[in-house]
Amino acid sequence: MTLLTERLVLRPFAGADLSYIEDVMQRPDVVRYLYWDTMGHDEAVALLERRMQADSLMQPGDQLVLAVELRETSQVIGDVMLGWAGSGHQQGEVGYIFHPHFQGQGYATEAVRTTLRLGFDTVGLHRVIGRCDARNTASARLMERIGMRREAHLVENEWFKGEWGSELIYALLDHEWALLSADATRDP
Amino acid sequence: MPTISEPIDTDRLLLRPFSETDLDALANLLARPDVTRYLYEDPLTRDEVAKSLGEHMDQNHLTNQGDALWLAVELKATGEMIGTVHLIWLSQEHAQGEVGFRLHPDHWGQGYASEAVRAMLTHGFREIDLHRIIGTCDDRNELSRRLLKRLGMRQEAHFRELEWVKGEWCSQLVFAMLRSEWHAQADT
Repeated sequence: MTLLTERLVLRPFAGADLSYIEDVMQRPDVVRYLYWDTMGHDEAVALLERRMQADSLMQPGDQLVLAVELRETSQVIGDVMLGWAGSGHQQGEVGYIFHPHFQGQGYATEAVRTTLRLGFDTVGLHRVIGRCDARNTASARLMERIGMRREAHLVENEWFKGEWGSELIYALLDHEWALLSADATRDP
Repeated sequence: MPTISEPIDTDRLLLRPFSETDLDALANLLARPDVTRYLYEDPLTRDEVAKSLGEHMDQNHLTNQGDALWLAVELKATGEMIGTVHLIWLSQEHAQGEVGFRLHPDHWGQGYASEAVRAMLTHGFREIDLHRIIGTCDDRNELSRRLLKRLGMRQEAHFRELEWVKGEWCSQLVFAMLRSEWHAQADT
């Protein structure tokens, strides 16, 4: 499973990506709103192994994680996730983590759009959500920029890293995606 | 272990474990299209109700995450079973629960559902120390929406076309109350 965009390659993780994982997951600014804290070597190896296994979407319940590589330099700059919910109602979820050095250039937007295209056009999902910590304004802005609607602000729905955390949920429906993707070709 | 050993007493109602003698009243309730309209099921047959009743008779405790406490709502004045009320322990780690109710239409409009659900909220916050309790309903279910709002719960979510139920896409509202909000209510 490899996807090409204007500036990126989205492809399964490989053993050589360990240095990227170690680098990005030792950064407090990256893990701040993730479910784990900064990682050491062993944890990074375990995470890479999980990602390497998540290389296909065959049925509801599966999760796909792809490394995002800059075509120009072959550098890994982040990853995207597409989850196919097991509920049986054609629901999915996108996720993404990008290295701070590569933020602010539209790469994440480009990668997430392509991931949505995979979800709607290939997997045939009816609705795709994205979730983020209510304090993660950068993530919320990305989902809004892509055209997703905020459907929820769950207040203190999780005990997260020693305090009550709140969550935003954004969503896009297949017919909304169809309208957006008609425009997206003009507006990368 | 929070098993209901005594019924929950409110002004006009008794919330008590189910018994076999509830079969007629429950069958009467769940055979009505106006009761099952926004539930996952169509009106139930007597056999289906009997099966459900059997399950509810076991669901008289909240011991572990995932347990649901189902209680019959009895009108003290007449001894009649007029509905059902339940509390699901959604998560122990995050101290989350969910309330629900079904009320016979002959008894709508008198505040019985409010009284019963309020008692279940109290039970959840007090007996199993929940931090947050939600109530959900179809976004067309005006009765439920008004009730949850009247109880002082906040609408946190409107999930569009979340589930395919009975031949159409259905959308869901999520209301929530925090422990601190329940305390504040109890003080006024």
